[in-house]
Formats: sequence, C-alpha cells, structure tokens
Amino acid sequence: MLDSLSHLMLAFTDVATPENLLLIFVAGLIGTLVGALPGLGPSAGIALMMPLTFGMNPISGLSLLTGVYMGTMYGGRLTAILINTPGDAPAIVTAMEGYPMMQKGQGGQALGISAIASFVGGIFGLLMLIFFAPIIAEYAIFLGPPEYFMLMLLGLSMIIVLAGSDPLKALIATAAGVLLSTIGSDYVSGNVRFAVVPELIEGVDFVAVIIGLFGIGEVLVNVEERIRLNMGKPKFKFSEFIPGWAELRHISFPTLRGSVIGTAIGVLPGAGATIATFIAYITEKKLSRQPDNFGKGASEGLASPEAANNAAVPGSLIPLLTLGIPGSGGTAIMLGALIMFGLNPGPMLMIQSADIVWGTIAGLTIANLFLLASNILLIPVFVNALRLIQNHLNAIVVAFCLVGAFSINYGTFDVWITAIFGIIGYLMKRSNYPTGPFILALVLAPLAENYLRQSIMLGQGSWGIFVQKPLTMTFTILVLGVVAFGLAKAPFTSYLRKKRLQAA
Amino acid sequence: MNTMKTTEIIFLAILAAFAASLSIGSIDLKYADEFSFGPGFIPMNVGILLLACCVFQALKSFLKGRQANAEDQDHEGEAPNIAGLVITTGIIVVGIAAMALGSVLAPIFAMIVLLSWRVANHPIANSLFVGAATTAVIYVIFAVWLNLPVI
Repeated sequence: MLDSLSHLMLAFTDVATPENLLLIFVAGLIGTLVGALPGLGPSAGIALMMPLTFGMNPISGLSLLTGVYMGTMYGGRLTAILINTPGDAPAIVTAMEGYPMMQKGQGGQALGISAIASFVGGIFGLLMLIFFAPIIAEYAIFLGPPEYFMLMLLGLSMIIVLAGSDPLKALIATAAGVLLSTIGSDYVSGNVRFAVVPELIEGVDFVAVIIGLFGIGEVLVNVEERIRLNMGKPKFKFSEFIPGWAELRHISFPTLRGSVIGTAIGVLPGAGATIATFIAYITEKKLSRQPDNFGKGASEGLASPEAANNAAVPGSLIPLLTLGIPGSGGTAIMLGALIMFGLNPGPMLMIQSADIVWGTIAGLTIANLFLLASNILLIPVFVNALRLIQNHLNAIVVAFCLVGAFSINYGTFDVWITAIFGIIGYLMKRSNYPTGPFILALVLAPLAENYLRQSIMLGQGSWGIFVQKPLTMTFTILVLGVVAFGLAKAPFTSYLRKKRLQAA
Repeated sequence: MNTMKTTEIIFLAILAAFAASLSIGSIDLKYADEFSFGPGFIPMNVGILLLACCVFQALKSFLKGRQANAEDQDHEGEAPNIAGLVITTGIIVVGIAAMALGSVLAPIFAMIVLLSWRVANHPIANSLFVGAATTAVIYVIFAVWLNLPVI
C-alpha cells in the first residue's frame, strides 16, 4: 500500500507541469462538452481526441484521453438535468430525478449535487484502482497463455450476453470485429492475410476505424434524425450550485453506496457505467424511506447513480491496467492507445512501464479535481458553449475526424477507411447493432489469437490444456456458464413475458 | 421502420460478402499442423460463423418485420432527412477525393462551409465564418502545436 502511495506521489511530480495541467484541464472541458451532446459518448470523445496524442509523450497522451473519458461522465448529466436529454446512456437515470428537480426550480442544486457525487464516485474508484491494481498485477504474472485466452473469451462472451436485448446482433458485431482483425501480417506464421493493397500489410488501422465508427457514424445519424439541442437560457445564481449541510448529509450514504456499486460493476467486463447507474438507482429506491418521491426529484436518486457512473471509469481501468483486458468500448479504445504508445498491455505493464501507468492515474486524479471545480464554477460557460456548438456540431466533428484520420499516416488511405467505417457505423446504429463488442473484438482478437496458438502449442496440439489446471478449468467453466446464460436468456425472457401477459 | 429494415439488409449484405470473401481467401492459408493451427484457422471459422449468423439474423428480422408491419403502420414520426444524409455523404466523399490534390485544409474548409450551409441551412456568411474559424483552430492544433504536416 505504501509502495502504491510512493509511486503515486512520484507520478504527481512528473505530471504536474504547467503544460500537462493545462492539457488535463482542457481535456476535462472537452470531455464534459462531448458527454453533454446527445449521441456523442465516452467512446466518441476518446476516439476524436486520439489523433491529438500522436505527437505527445505517453503520460501526456494518456492523461488527455483519460481526462476526456472522465469528463464525458461529468458532461452527460448537464443536458439530462437542464433539458431532459441525456448526453449518454448512463445519464438516463440522472434525467429521471435531475429534470424533475429542474422543473421544481432546483436545477442549480441538482447540478451541484450531481457534480459532488460524481467527484466522490471518481475519487472512490481511483482509490480502489490505486490500492487494488498493484495487488491484482502481482498475481496476474502467474497467469499463462491458456488463462489469458480464457479471460479474453470471458470478456468477449460477457459483453455479447450483456449488450442489449439481442445477443445475436452482439455476436455478429463481435465476429465482424474478429474477422477484420485478421487482415494484415500474422506475426506467428509470417503470412500476410488478405492485404489486397500494400497499406493493409500492417492491418486496418484501429484509430481510423474508431474515428469513423464513433465520429462520422454519429454525424450521419444526427443528420438523418435532425437531432438538435434546444438549450434555452437557464439562469442560476452561484450559491444554488452548492448544496447545504443538511442536503450533503442526506446524500452522503447514497453517494458512498453508488461509489461501491460503480467500482464493482465497472470492473466486470461488459457491464459498465450504464448498468451500474441503474443498479445504484434501484438500490436507493429499495432502501429509501420515501420511495414515492423517486421520479419526482429525489436527491438521493440523483446522487447515487452519478457516483456509480464516475466510479465505473477507474473501476473499468483495473482489469485494463493489470491484465490488459478491456471490459467496454471505451476501455478497448484505451487499450488501443496503450499499444499505440508502444506499451505492452498485460500483467507486466505495471512493472515495465510503472512510471507511465502511475502518471496516467495521477493525471486522472488531477482531472477529477479540475472537473469538480469546472462543473460547479463553469456551468454558464458550458451552457453557452453547447448553445454555440450545437448548430455547427456536425460540420466541426466531420472536420476533426477527417484531419485526425489523415494524421495517422499522412495519406488519404486512412481517411477513406474512416469514411467507410463512418457508413458502417451509421448502418450499425440505425439497425441497433452494438458498436462496443465490435471494437472490443477488433482490439482483443489479435492478442487472443496469439494466446490461443501458444496454448495449443503448450498442450502439444491438445485442446485439453484448457481443463488441465484448476484455474484454467475455472475460467473455462465461467465462459461456458456465460454462453449457456446467453443462450437461455432470450427464450426465458420471452417465456416470462408470455406468462405475465397471460396472467394480466 | 422501413429505413431501419433497409439499413439492416444493407449491413447484413456487406457483412455476409465480407465474411464469404475472407473465408474463401483463407482456403489458400494453412489451416492447422501437428501442434497448433495456422493463419487460416480463425478467418475460416469466424467467417463461416459470421455468414451463418447473418443469414439467421436476416431470416429472424424478415419474420419479425412481417409480424410488426401492420402494428407499425400507424406510428408516423418526423420524416428522416434522407436528402441531408445523401448530401453529407457526397460532400465527405468528394472532399476526401479532393485531398489527393495536395492540400488537406482547403477541402476541410470547403466541407465545413458546405455542410453548414447546405445541410444545416445556416446563412452563407455564418457558414464561411465557422469554416474559417474551425480550419484555423485545426491548423493551430495539428500544424503549429503538434507539428504534424497538416496543410
């Protein structure tokens, strides 16, 4: 524990340069704005910022990306509370209590409570990350290729099962991601697979794909659906943003509960912030002495999910930084960023690149402090910025996406890839196919394929290697359990629905 | 509902064609040897799986669509902006093609102006201002600050 703190203190001295502090502050502001805009979530925010990190050192680049990631979690609540339009999926629950508070003339208080709860959740998750990540990493070095392959398969199968109501669509998205990842050089055999043009020898560039999918794809959907924000001109006094002692005491335990739930759910692959917010909300409603107040502006129903939402971000970074296994689309993009910076994600990351990992954690802690201050002091700035951006958002996003794609290799090939995946992203969103499993599969599949091959070689051609050791067998059983649950979920849900309909 | 059905058909057709071509292409790659599998193993198996899933999903959507068709006829919302979608796609495609002529920022400026003016229907003066301001910000960030060859 003391070791973690000394690493962190050292990292703070590395990160706290004027240039880095400005970068983290701006990243938080950009993340807040991106998170507030409906349609653009954490994945889009990180994807759009990725090209900006090309010329940076890893600590600055990763601090920028994690700052944006955390900022989007703060931003989602702004439009949810002000105009009942959640900026991202986790903010749906925020709108359920935040908007009624706004209607009752307590909008300023709702924004203040949610900012404080978000901060507490973020700090709690960070503490868990700081103290538990080194412990997990210590044990993770004993895992071999079969365990790693099974862990990756577990992550992928969980995201298929948990992604929305249709596991088949998630499976299609996952298989498409795996197949796309096979294009390019196969480093085990030395073969080049499906590279019809020389630019594909290194494979399809991951950054070009995510920029297209989350940037251009969103723009096309926004244009077709004529999405516009009607921000209005809300006026608040500064004092309204700071809740009184009685209110702070009232939300203290819900905020802590939300923080615990958010961190725990964030660690699980496939679950993520959205599920965490719903579980936190349901828990508070169950525990409340006045459950009838929920839906009418209950501050505990606002605080708990907001804390869960922000605690899920550091929670999701625990498996990423210790095992190299992302649990969501956002962390999959972060994994891509780690690889892009020449790092080797996995159990050795915290040993080989400790300065960078601790620097990123320090950056995230500073971002959380900046975000609390900016989300209380700069609300009018955000509202005016959103009003200004909303009218020209599509044109600005397209411009940044295409310049970002050009910056990958300074040629138009990646720009075309971005445009193609923009159209693919549009088709996926219009047909309700989840993009998270696609990105996760695209990033994880090459690693998983290598681990699978190494495992089979270790087993001298036998697949029995996956049930030989107790730990590997446990992972295998877990994967089979998740797959069985996924297969049984849809028929069981439809059976229950029919039963309920018959009873009604 | 109709648009969604069309988009899903297009999406599944693209995926099926992609899966089929990679599966066929993987025939030339080594599938397995004595101790492990070769580079053709994953593309061949995942390609076949994806192809089968696409066919199954298409059938599922087709049967569901027939059932839901009558129920959905009454639900008329705001008409989708198909013209805007086509114009936006066209502007992006022509803009990228224009980048091959040498400059990145000039096509970007033109794209912003056209998207703002023709798709979002802002006054031309407004669009020119937004185009110039955004292009200037991009130049400062990418060319000046990050020192990348974006001109």
